[in-house]
Amino acid sequence: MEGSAVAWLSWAPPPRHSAAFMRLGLLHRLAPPLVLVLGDLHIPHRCSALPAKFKELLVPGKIEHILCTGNLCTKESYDYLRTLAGDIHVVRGDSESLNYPEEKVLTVGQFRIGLIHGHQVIPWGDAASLALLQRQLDVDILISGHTHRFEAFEYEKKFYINPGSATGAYSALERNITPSFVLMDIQASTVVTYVYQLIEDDVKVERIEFKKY
Amino acid sequence: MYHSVSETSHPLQTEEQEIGIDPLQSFLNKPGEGGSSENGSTHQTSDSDGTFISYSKEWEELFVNNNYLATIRLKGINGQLRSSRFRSVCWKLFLEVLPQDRSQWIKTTSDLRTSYSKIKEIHITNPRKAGQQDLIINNPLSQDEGSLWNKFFQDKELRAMIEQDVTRTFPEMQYFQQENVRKILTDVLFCYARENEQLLYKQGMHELLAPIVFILHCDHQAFSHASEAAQPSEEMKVLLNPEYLEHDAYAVFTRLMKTAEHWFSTFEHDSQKEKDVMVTPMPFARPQDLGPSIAIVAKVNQIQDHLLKKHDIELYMHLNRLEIAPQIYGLRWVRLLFGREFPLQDLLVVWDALFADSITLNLVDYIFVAMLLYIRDALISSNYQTCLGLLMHYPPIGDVHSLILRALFLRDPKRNPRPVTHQFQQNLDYYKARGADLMNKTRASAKAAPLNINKVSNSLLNFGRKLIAPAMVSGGAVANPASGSSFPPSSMPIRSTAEAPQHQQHHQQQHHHQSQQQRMMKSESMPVQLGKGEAAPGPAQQLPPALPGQSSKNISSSPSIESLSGGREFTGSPPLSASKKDSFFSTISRSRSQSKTMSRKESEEELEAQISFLQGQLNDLEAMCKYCAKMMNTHLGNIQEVILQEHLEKEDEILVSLAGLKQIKDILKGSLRFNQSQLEAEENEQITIADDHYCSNNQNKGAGDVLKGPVMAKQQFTSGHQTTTDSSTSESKSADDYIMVCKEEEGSKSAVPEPAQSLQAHKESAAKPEAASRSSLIFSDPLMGSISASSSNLSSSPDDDSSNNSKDSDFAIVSPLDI
Repeated sequence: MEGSAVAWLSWAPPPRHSAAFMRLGLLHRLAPPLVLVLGDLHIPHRCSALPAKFKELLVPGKIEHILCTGNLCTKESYDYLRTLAGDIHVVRGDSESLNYPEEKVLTVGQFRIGLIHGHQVIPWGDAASLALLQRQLDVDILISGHTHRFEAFEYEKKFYINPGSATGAYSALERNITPSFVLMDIQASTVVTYVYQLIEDDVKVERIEFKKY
Repeated sequence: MYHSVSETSHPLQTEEQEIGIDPLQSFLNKPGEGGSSENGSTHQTSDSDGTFISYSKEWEELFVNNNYLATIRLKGINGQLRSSRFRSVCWKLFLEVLPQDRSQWIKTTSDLRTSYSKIKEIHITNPRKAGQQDLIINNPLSQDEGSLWNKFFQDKELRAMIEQDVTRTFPEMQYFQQENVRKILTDVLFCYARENEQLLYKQGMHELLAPIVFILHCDHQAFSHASEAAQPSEEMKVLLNPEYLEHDAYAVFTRLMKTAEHWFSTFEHDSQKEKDVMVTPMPFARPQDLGPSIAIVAKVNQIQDHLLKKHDIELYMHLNRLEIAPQIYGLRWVRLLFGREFPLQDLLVVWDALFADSITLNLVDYIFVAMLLYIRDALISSNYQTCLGLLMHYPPIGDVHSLILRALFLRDPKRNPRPVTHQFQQNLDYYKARGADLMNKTRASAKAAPLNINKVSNSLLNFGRKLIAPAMVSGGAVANPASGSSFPPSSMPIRSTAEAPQHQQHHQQQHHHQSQQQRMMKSESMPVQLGKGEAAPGPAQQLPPALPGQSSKNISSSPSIESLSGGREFTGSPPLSASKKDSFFSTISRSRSQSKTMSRKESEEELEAQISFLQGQLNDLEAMCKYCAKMMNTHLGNIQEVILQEHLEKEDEILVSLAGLKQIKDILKGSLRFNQSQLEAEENEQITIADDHYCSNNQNKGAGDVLKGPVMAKQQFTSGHQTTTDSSTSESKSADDYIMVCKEEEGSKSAVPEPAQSLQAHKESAAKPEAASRSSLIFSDPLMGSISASSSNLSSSPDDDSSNNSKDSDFAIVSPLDI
C-alpha cells in the first residue's frame, strides 16, 4: 500500500554518501551557521528553569553551535542544550558542578571567538581588562558572562559580547535581572547579533551588526 | 507476421545501427573518462565541417517539413530518435512545450525561461536580504508564518529531502555525480515543489527529471560541438543554448508532471470517499480494494484487473492467486515511467515512444502489460518469491523496441502489426533470491515462518529436476522422426546437436551451470521458446529465429499444452523414458512427503508443476503406444500376406493368433478399450499356468536330457529354415515368436517343433537346471514346457498365456475380431 511514502522506492540503491556526510557537507552549506550564546543559568540554585517564552523559541534544527559562558551548574542543563544542537562548548563558571575548561578559543567561519566565564577578569565586565584578555587569546570576538547583564560593544575594533543570564538569575551585585541570550548569524566577514530579551513577559529582539576589519 | 523486428534488431545482433554520436557511451561511469566527457570533446567525429553539415541536415530532416510533427512522432515511436541530436527538441514538441508553429519557438522559449527565472527568484530565499521587516517577526528563531527566516528553515527541510534523493540519482552515471548538475536538479525540483504546494516534492520526481536534464545536456553538447565549425541558425542557437539548461528542464518537467502529477498525489478521490462512507466495506474485497483509493493505486489496479485480464487471463489469475497486488511493483513502474526497469539508453527509447504517442502518456498502461507478458512464462512457472523478484528486479530486456511494438499491438491490434513474441527465459534463481530478500524485508516482522520451508521444498524440486534433466537431454538426442511431433522434422536434429555441446559446457563451465540447467528445463516444458535471452549465447542460439507459426503465443497458451508438445518432442527410447520416470516419481514422492509440511499455496503450486510434468509423461507413453501399434500393424500385415501365400497346413490357427495380435495392436492404438479387470484375471491365470508348468516339469523329471542337445540343434536348424520365409526385421521376429509359440502346441504332436530364435537363449538357460531330470523319451514335452514357461516369464501379454492354457478359450476371445 501507499502507506509509508518511502516504501515504494526503498529498493533503491543506498545513497553514496552517509547521512553524516550529508549533514556536514551539504546541509552545512545551505544553512547559515547560527550560533547560540547563553550562560549563567544557575539552575536549580537561583532559578527553576528557562523562561517558557525562551523555550518556545529554542527549537532544534536551527542552531548549529552553542557557546555557553558557564554556570550551567547541573548536568541536566547541559543535556537540555544538547537537544538543541550537536556542537556545544561550555567554559567553567564559578559555581559549576561539572568540570569544564577555564577558557576556549574556536573558529566559526572567518572569526576567532574567545569564550570565558568572566569571574576571572577583574574588575568584572571591565572593557579594558577584557581587551587584555582579548589580546592574550588573539580573538576577534570575546564572549564573557558572570555580570548577568547583556552587553555587546565594539572596543578597539574588537567585538565583545556578554549574553547576560538566560534565566534571569540574580547576580552577586543585582537582584532584578532581565533574562537574555544572544544569537549570532555569522556570514563571510560580518556577524549579525540578535539579542533576545524577556521584558515583562515579552520577547524583545535587537539586531547589532559587527564587521570585521 | 511482422518481420522487420527480427531482421533489423535480432537480439543476437550487436546493435550497430547507431551511427553518429551516442551520448551515453561517453557517460557510462568510467572513472578515467568521466571528467573528459563533460566538455563534449569526446565525440569521435573528426571532420568538423562534415559534422555540421550532417548536423544541420538532421535538423532539416526533422523539423523543416510541413508535416514535421507527424514525422518525428513516427520516429519516436519507431525508436529512431535513439541517436538523434535533437531529441530534447522533439520531446519539447511532444510535450507541447514548444508550439507546433515554428515561428513561435523562439518567443515561447524565452517566455518560459523568464518565467522560470522569476519563479526561482521568488522561491529561493535569502532571509538576510529582507532587511526592513520587523525584527520581532523576522529573526532567526521566529516561528511566525510570515517570517522569511521561518520560510527559510522550512525550505531547508524540503531541500534536504530533495538533495537526499538527488544524490542517489543514477549513481552509475558520472554526469549526475557532478555538483552543478545536482544543484540544477535540486533547484528545479525545489521550484516545482514550491509552485505546486499541494503536491510538494514526492520521491521519484527526481528520476523523471534526471533523464530530461540529461538529454538536454547531450543536445547542448552536440550543439556546441557542431557550432564550432559554422554558424548555426538562430533557432538552434536559442533552443539549444546551454545556459538555459535549468530553465528548459523546468519547462519540460512541469509539462510532464501535468500528466504524471496525479500518479504522485496521495490525496484520495472525493467521489470514492463518499462511496466509502455510504457503503460499508465490500464483503469479498481484496486488500488493495480497501483503504484509501489513491489515483496511482486505482490506475495500476485497473491495468491489472482489466487490461491484463483481457490479454492474459492466465497470468492474471496466477498473480491474483499469489496475491501479488499490482501496486507492489506497478507503483514504481508507472511513477518513474519505468525508469528503474530499463538501462538509461533503453529508457530514453521508451520515453521517446511514450511522449511521441500522446501527451497523456496513454501508452504507459500497455507497456505495463507488455512488460508483464514478456516475463509471463517465467512468472507463471514461479512461486511468490520468484515472481516478486522478477517484478521488482525486472530482467534485462534484449530489444526494448519490440516491447513498444507489443504495447502498440495490445492497444490497437487492428492498426498495428503483430510483433514477434519474445519471452524472457533465464535462470530464475537470481530472482528467487531477490524475491526472498524482498520477502525478508517486507515480512520480517509479520509472518516469516513458511519461508524456510518453501526454500527447502524448492531446492528439493530443483534437485529432482536436475536428476531428470540429463535423461531428457539424451532422450532428446535420439531424434525420433516418427514420434508424431508437431515440429517440422528438420528442426529436430538442429536441436539435438545444439544441445549436445551445451551439455558439455554444462560440465566445463561452472558459472554457466545454473543457466544451462535452466535452459534444459525450459526446453523440456517450452520447446517453442525463441532464443531470446542474451545472457548465455550458447549454441542453442543457432536455432532458427522463428519456427514458422510457432510464436509461443500461438502454441503455448497454457502450461499443459506446452508440456504436451514438450513430451512429444522427447519421445525417447523406452528404457530412457523409464529411467526418467523413475527419477521423476522419486522426486514426486519425496516432494510429496515434503508437501505435507508446506503451506497450502506452495503445495498447490508444486502440484501444478507436477501435473503438467505428468501430463508430459503420459503423452510420452501415448506416443510410444501409437508408434508400437503402427509398427505392429505393418508387420502383421506382412506376415499375414506371406502366410496366405504359403497355404500352410494349420493356417487357421496362425491366422487366429494373428488376430489376437491385431487385438493387442488395437488396444495399443486405443481403438479397443482395455479393461483393467481383464488384466487382473489374466494375471491370476498366468500364475496358475506357471504353477502348472512347474508341475509338468516335475512330472517329467527322470527323463534324461541326452537327446536334448541334438534336438535343440535340430530345432535351431529347422527354425532357421522356417524363418527364412518370414521377413527378417526385428519387429517381425518378435511377432514371429508369438506365432511360433502358438504353433508349437500343435507342433508337439505333429513333430514340427519351431522355436523362435530369440527364445533360444532363454530356453537354454531355463532348461539347463532341469536337464538332469528330464525324460529322454518325451523330449518335446519338456521343451514345450520350458518354452512356454520362458515365454510367459518373458512377456505378460495375455495372448500367449491363454494360448498355452487352452486354445479354445483363446480363440473364443480373439475370433470375433479382424478375421
